[in-house]
Formats: sequence, structure tokens, C-alpha cells
Amino acid sequence: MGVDRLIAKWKVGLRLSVVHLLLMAGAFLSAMPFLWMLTTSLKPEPALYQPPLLLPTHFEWENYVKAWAAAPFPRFFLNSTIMTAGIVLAQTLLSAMAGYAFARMRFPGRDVLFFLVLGTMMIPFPVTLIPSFLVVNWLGWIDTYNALIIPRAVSAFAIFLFRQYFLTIPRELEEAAWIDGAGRFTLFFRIILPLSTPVIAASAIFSFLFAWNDFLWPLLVTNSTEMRTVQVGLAMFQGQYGVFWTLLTAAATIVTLPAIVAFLAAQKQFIAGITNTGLKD
Amino acid sequence: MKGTWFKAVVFALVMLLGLGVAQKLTFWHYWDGANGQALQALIERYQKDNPGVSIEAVFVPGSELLTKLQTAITARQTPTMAISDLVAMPLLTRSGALAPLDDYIRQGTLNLADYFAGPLVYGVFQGRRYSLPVSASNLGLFWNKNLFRQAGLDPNRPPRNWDELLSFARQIKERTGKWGIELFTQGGEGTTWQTQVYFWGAGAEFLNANNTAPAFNSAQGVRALQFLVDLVQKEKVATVAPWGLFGRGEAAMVMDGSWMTQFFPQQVNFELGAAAFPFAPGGRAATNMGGEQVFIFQSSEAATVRAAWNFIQWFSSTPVQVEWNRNTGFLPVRRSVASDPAYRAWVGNARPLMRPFVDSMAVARPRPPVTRYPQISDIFARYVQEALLGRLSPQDALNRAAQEITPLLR
Repeated sequence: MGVDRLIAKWKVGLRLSVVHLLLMAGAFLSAMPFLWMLTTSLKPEPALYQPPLLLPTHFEWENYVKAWAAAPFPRFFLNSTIMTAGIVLAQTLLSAMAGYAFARMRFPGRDVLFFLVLGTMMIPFPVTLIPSFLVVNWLGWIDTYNALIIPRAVSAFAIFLFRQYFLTIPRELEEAAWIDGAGRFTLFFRIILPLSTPVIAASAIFSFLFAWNDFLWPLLVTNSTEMRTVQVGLAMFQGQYGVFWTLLTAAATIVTLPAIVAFLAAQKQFIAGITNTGLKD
Repeated sequence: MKGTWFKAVVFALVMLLGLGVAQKLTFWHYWDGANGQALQALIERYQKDNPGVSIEAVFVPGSELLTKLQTAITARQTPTMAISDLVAMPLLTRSGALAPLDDYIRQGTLNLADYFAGPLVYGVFQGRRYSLPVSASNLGLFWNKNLFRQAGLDPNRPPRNWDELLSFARQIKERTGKWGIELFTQGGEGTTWQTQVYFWGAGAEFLNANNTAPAFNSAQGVRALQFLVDLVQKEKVATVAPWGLFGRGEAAMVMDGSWMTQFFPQQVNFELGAAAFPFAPGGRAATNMGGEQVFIFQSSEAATVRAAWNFIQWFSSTPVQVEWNRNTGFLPVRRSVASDPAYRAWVGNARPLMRPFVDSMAVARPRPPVTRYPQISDIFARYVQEALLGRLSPQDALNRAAQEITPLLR
């Protein structure tokens, strides 16, 4: 009996350690590019191609100072922050409202409309690039925050995410509130949204990463240095005649930090949101 | 007290008037880092000497400048002037958005005969000139003196022709186990523009004289590709591998650009040499060339175009170009700059590795200025790879490439 239990315990232990080894390998694969970035950012230029590649042994903090001074990064951070905050707020609110309409309200053509919205996800960005630019130009928005935020204020993907989540909320909850005299907006803001923190977090993270990392659109619709964003700043280190790896990785480390912090802050909700809607990106 | 007020009012009025007549020019470019600072310094000096003109230089990352110019042209939101990589010039001159420069050049002080022939090939469409070269770069040979020494070769004597290149490479492989020479085998324009140097060096042409048909599948072309294939397949002194062997000391020679005279010394931990790239016995000295061209967009305001031209003319003048090339490390586009004593002294003292590149400008050849060059280059590179991997004979590879490229030139 004692031996059996020992063997059983061993088996569980073995299975767990195999699982853990696999997880560790996966974690290492995900962390590797970041380790490389961090290590390179702390190297002097001549040591660029020399190992170790993943463990910082030099500490050339000067790279960070140089990278920060190479472009007006404080201004770029401000612009990226305003743009990202605008896009995240607008995408979350508007997509949640649209998702709610598609999930709960009845109106003619609803399903056709929903498929049309989904269909827009199939159109590659380069196709809409020039038409969007022409519209923004016609509105006189070139070089303004309007151009950076408003064309990206809704997201078909987020609408889909919200609709799928709202379908899982029991209709009875709403009906109870309905009977108590709540209107559509009260229902949406007081009942539905408070129950939807996981999907709000997931959608917000997606739109945060999209907005923070976006490069081509902000570059096209801004002309002055005062309106440029951090990603355009990063491109300054990828010169026409060679990449300044140590400076690029130093700047990239600084620029990536907000994204990592945002992810860690919302991690729990994020994972819950993904698992509840059965989606991954 | 009253006098002060009066002066202040007059001053304010003059300032307002000044703003009213001041020419505001915008200039889109992709010169990053020190190059961008060199441009800014020149602009500031020009503005000081020409109080009526203000120039705003806008940096656009190199990879996206063409996209941004194209959207700007579609939306008619173009800057006053811009630069472009010379490869994109055929596309830009055909857009109809650029201002022809012939009249300005005729009436101005620039002598086109002073320019090197290579860069001047770009920017001409239907007999009219739309752009001027403002910077250049070209390809040459770098070698690792430490590996040369280890192999028992004279570290100060680069190969002068293909026979020497091959015998040096063999000796390096034999004595040190390292690759003799590194080839860019990853395809795309990187492979094409290096391969063109071997082709030209063997006396082959890439396209025919009026750029209407491929010419690379000639006997000389096959000889050049055979030489490259032999380096990999028969002699095994070069390999098909990701770029970077030379920088890590894994290959003793490499063909790379003049800009690397600036970057290699900071990146490698061995002694470097640089020379003009060797050519085939019986062939000719030749290299490939890159660089930027400057152009002005059409505008309803003739005065704006004129003001932009005045700046370009000043920027292109020999003394300014000497300073520009010294501060950026770009190669001269004008003979008077390349032979300028102050410039040559600077090269000799500060950038000795650059001298062979400066001297090679006289034999630097342009890639054919055709609109579909990027597609042509991709196809050509793909067949060069097929040959290097031994999947197609050089003759077959070049014939097939020619077959695919012919329709793109119609």
C-alpha cells in the first residue's frame, strides 16, 4: 500500500515535471527576443556580434542616454499616449455598444450587417490606405490628433469580441432589470458593462497594442516632428545605411516598457477574456 | 520712451511684412542621425544668408518615404521638394508631379558636365530632367587583414583580378578553415546589385542599350555567374548562408558599400582593408552605385519653385558638397568634389578606407532606370540563387530569368 502510494505520487510528480519542463521551454522561447533586446541594448557597439547574446555582461547605460537624446522622445511619448488613450477609449466604448446591439437588439438586416462588419476584417490595410488618407486630407485633419484617432475609433475585431461575450450573459438578468424599469442605456452601463470586465480588458489590451505599435498610418498623416509617435522615433535608428543596433534596442526597450506594464496590469482579466470568448490572436 | 515704442511698432510691422513675403519651403528626406544633422546645419546657414527663405526639413524613415510621397502625390499634398533613393526615380518622374529643371539648369550656374555619368542617368523622362544627384555610395572590396596574415598572405595586398581573388580565397580556406569570400545569397536587390558588379566586371551588360530587353544572358554574363557558382560549388571557398560572416570574422573578403567604411571599424575586432572590387581578367573595372536625388514638386506658385531651385543650386555647389560629403561620408557626385584638395586630405586623414570608393565613382554604373526594376531585380536574384545552389546551370538560370523579365520591359 505504502509503495503503491509512493509510485502514484512519483507518477504525478513525473507528469508535473514534464509539464513544467515544456512550459519552461515555451516561456524561454517567448522571453528570448526580449532578453536579446535587453542584452544588445547594454552592449558597446564592437561587442554586438559576440556572445553572450541573452545575458547582459556589459552595462553600457550610455546607449540609453544616447538613444533618448537622438530624437524628441518626450514629445513622441506624449503623442503616442494621447493617440493610444483615444483609440483605446473609443474602440472599447463604441465596439461594446455595437457588440451589444448585435447581440441583443432586434432590427432588420442585423445579421447581414454583422457579417459585413466581420467582412471588413478581410480587407488588407494597404487597400484602404490611400482612400482613408484622401478622406482625412479632405477633412483637413493632416497633422492633427483627429487623423491619428478618429479613423481608428472602431474595430470590427472588438465588435466581434464583445458580441460573443454578451451572448454568454443570461438574458434573465436584463429582463429582471427591464421589469424594474431600466432603459437601454441603464441596462448597458449598469448591468452589462460591469459584468464584462474580462472582455473589456481583452479588447483594451488588443487596441492598446495595436495603437502603441502602429507605424505606417501615423507616419503618413503627420508631417511635423511635433506630431510624430514613438514608433516613428524608433525608425530613426534603422538608417538607410545600416541599423544602429545598440541604440535601436535601447530605444525599443524604453518604448516596449509601457506595453509590458499594461499587459501585466491587465493580465488576469486578459486571460479570462480570451478563455471566455474562446479566442486567441 | 516714445522712441522705444515707435521702434517696437516698426519692428513688429517689419516682422509681419517679412512673414508675409517669406518663402516657406518644406523638404522631405530620409537622412537619419548625423546625416540629418548635417542637412539641418546647412539649412540653418542658408536661411541666415537668405533671410526671405525658411526651409522645414521633415524626416521620414527611409523605408516609407516612397509610400508617403505617393500618397502625397495622390492627395496633392506634396512638399516643396524631396529626395528619393535613385531606384525610385523612374516611378517619380512618371508621376507628372515633378517640376522639370532644364530651364533652371540652363539659366543657372551648375555645370552638369562636372557630374559623374552614373548618377546623372536617373531623373530623366522623355528628354527632360527632373532631378539632380546629391549623394552617392558604391560597392568595393573589404578584407580581413588578420585572416590574410594567418593564411600567409600579404595583409596589405588585396586581390586585383578574379584569378587572384580565387587563389587568395583557396589559400584562406586551406590555411584558416574560414570562408575565402562572402556572397550576399539571401535574394532580392541585395543579391542582384552585388551580382551586377561581377557581371559588369566580366564585360557583360544587364539590359540592352535602350533598356528594352535583358542582356545578362550573354557569354560574358554566363562566365560571371559561372565564376560565382564555382566559388560555392566547385572551390567551396564561399557558401550560401545568411549575411554577416565577414563581420564575425568567418569570411576573409566581402563586397560591401562605401558606408561600411564608417560602420565596420566600430563593429569588427580585426584589422580592415578596403579596395576597388577586382574584375575578370580581360574585363573592366566597374562597380554598382546607390545614392539620392533631389527634386522639386510642381506648384502654382512659380516663386516657390524658384526658391527651391535656388536652395538646390546652392546645396549642389562644389564647396557645399565638399562639406556635405565630409560630414555625411557620402561619396561625391561631382568630379570637382572628388578632386578637391581639402576633400582628398580629409579622406586621407579621417577616412583612409574610403579612398578606393571615391576613386571608383568614375567607373560606378547605374542600375537600369526602368519603372519595374524592383520586380526585375527579384526575378534575377531568384535565378542567381538557383544557380548558386546548383539547381540550374548558369546558362539555364540566366535564360529563364531573361524569359521572365522580357515582358516587364515592354
